[in-house]
Amino acid sequence: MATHALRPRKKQTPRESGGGLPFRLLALVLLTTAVACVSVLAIRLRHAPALPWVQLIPFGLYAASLPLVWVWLRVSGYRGDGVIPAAALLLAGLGIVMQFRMGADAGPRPWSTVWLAYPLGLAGFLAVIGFFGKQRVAVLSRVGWLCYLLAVGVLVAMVIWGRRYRGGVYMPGNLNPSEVVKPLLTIFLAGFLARRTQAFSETQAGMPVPPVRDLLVLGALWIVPMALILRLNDWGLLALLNGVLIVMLFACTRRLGYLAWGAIGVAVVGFAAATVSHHARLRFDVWRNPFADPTGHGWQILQSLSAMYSGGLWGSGIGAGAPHTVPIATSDFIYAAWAEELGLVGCALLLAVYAILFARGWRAAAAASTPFVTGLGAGLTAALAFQTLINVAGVTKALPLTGITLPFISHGGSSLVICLIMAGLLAAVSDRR
Amino acid sequence: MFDTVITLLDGEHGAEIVRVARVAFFVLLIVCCVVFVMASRPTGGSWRAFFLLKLLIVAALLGVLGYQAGWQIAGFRKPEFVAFMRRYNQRPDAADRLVKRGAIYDCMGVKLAESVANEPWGRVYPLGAAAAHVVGYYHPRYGIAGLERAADPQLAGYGITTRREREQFGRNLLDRKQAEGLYLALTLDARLQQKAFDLLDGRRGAVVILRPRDGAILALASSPAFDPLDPAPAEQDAETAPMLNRALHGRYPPGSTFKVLVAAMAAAQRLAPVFDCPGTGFEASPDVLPIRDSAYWAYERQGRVWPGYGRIGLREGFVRSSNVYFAQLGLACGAERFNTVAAAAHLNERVTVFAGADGGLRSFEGNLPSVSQQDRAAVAQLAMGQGPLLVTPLHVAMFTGAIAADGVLWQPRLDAREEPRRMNRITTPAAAATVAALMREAVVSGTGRDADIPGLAVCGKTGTAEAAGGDDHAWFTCFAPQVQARLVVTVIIERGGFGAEAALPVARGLLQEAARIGLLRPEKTEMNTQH
Repeated sequence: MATHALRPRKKQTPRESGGGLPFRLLALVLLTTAVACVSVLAIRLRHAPALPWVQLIPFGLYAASLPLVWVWLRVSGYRGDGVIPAAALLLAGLGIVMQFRMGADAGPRPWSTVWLAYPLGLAGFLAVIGFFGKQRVAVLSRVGWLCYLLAVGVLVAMVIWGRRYRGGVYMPGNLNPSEVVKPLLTIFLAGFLARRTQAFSETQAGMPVPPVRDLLVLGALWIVPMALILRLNDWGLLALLNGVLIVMLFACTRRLGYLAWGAIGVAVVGFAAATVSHHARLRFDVWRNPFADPTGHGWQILQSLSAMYSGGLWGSGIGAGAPHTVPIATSDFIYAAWAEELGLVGCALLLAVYAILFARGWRAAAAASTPFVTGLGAGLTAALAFQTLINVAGVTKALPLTGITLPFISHGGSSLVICLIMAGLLAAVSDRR
Repeated sequence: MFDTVITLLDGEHGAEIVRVARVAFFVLLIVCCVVFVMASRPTGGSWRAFFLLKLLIVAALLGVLGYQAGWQIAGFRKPEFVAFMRRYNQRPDAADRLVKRGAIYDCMGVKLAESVANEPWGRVYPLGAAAAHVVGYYHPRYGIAGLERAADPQLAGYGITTRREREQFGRNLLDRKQAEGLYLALTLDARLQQKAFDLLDGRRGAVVILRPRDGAILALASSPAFDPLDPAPAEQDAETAPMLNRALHGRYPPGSTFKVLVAAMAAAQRLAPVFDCPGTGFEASPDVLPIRDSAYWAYERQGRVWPGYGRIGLREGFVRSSNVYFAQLGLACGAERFNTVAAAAHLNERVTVFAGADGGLRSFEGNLPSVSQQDRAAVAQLAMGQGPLLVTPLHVAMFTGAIAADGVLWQPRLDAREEPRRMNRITTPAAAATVAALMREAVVSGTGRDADIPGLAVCGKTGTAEAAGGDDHAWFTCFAPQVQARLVVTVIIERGGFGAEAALPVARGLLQEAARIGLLRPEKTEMNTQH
């Protein structure tokens, strides 16, 4: 790595392949975040003209991080898609603004370990790009089984030592290590499928039907983490990982039939879940009719929708709304706060940034050098995309609530760190040799 | 530098800075999206790569956004959602605070409740305590009650039904302008309501006035009452329970007013037997005390011995309100008939007088327990309106109304725009006419003599109901005129003693008031027969 990092740039012609992270992109990201930050601070200061310096530390860290990213990518000779890191950093910046806004009403806060999440995640992001850039990400195919065992180990640990809180399971310190399962299983699947592209491409009557042996192996391996996740009652993660599996099967074989299998699977599993699991049925019923129990189970989603309603088209302005009326607005329901304060227009723009990130991710995957990297890129993008979709759809009542965070924006250390690392891997996937 | 920033933001330009920052943020987000889309990209991938996946995620996100817009922008179209926000959204600009509540009018267009100016909680109740129970209140601290609660959907605007109203209401909300709820027109007559409350004069009691032939309720008064602008002091008063709407929620033994129903039962069976009514009373069953007429006790108080009515028929028994006669009549009708009549008169049901939110406005259920003929004592007690039998004043007004309306029960209603609805027949027209004649006789020559107002042909029945723990409840239920009845008036004075002494004068005053304002004008056919 050091040799690459220290190697002088040969010519000033990286633009011919269009790679790299132009400074103007980062400057735009910084400017946008700064304006959002000014907006929040202005409203905050008008209400309480005392602002402890310590509360500004997250902004300072963020502002300082952007030039560092630029320098690091220049030094490491990054020639991948500049939009992937830029969009990820913009989302993380908006997340920091929203988190400040959500915490701003609470008065002066002591130094919070949560502030470490962004620096940690950023370090992971930069390290991943540095280590795995130049398509060296392909080496991960060798540690696929290790990743699988790690993921299963984490899940087993959570089943044994995790404690329940609000329907989810957390490790001590409110860490949610199940986040790490997403990239680990994605890496495993990419390696597994890349070696069996032929087998999984076989079709019968237009639908992909892999040989029974391969199917059984995949099924047997896949059922273990899924069963553990079911044991944790984490339906959101379950849906997300199976979505990733379907997209990766499709990405590795280019057989559209897998998407059809996926749709059938979603319908069957959704129906089975709603009939078998009490927890899932409850969520399902609340989704169908939150007004049946408006002050009990329907309370959270109805407060979320009320917040959105009061935001209207343009929103109240960051800091001017009252998103604290929505329970756990800082993490799972941060989108409701965003909708209240930035309106439907702000939501459309936010989702547009996400959509651009996903489109770039899949494009990078398609352009990758080996089937493993293609599968990895497609899977990582799918993980982020499904996570966004499941969260936003849950908060707006388009789908049942599953208790999953909004990538980059939700409060929660593990989520931000893992999302940034996944974004770093995506950037590495897009990097040219 | 930091202090400069604070001074800048906190100063007069603060609001401007906030506004500019907001617009700038939107613009910058758009610029970000455009720049990201246009930004140069590494070669090797084409835009068609994984096109289907991109299409699916964009379609899914757009779908969610569209669904979100259904709540965020068009949420006012969902009545349950607006109802939820009205109650539980704490934001200062929540939907309800933008709505000017609709006014409540009586049948003549007199305002019973209205909102002043732009103050949504600023509700004015012109009749005050006189209509407090039925109109209810809408108070920031004490909540919402009575018709204010039952008619909340239309008063607050989210129960709007026509498309045009709904869209105007929605546009106002979108523009964050004030919208106005619908008004509510009641069948109540403010003059009778006020008069009823005045005549109750602070005594514990209630008045129900309704039109027997369409069920319209003209007065629903309860006393003592409370100030609808400040119900708090009344809530503390456990002694007289001023918050209780006695007309709908007071449950009393009906006493002799129930004989109206028993007489109707007998008349429908063509029963008009002659019974011996000795002074010693009637022993329905050997192990209970004999049933005696009230005259027995009056004589006893004077140190004399009541000789009894002797052998009397239905007319005499009803006009004298003889318990001894009716105990025997009830047994002659049979216990089964009581169960039938309880169902026909809806005595064991909650009667809805206003269909609306939270169950609308309903009476409590009465209590006419199912009895068997073997339990002779219980049947005899029921026949004189005692025992475990309980009814609300509304129930009494309803069965009185059925007698007045040729045996047909009409759904009592408060909403002027609700169509009159026939509920069911409780007795035959001939039996109803018979009982009406008996009630007329009771006013002309019986217990209700004081209610005979010349020219009104009042038919009535007194009641003096024994209740544990105090004096008797005084009842008077009547209608006028005898043919083509226009009004039913039912009065109860709790612990008032004799019906003829406490309740009857209230009813008379109300009939006189009704006659004065022209509510008892005889119809044309009757005028012809009179002249």
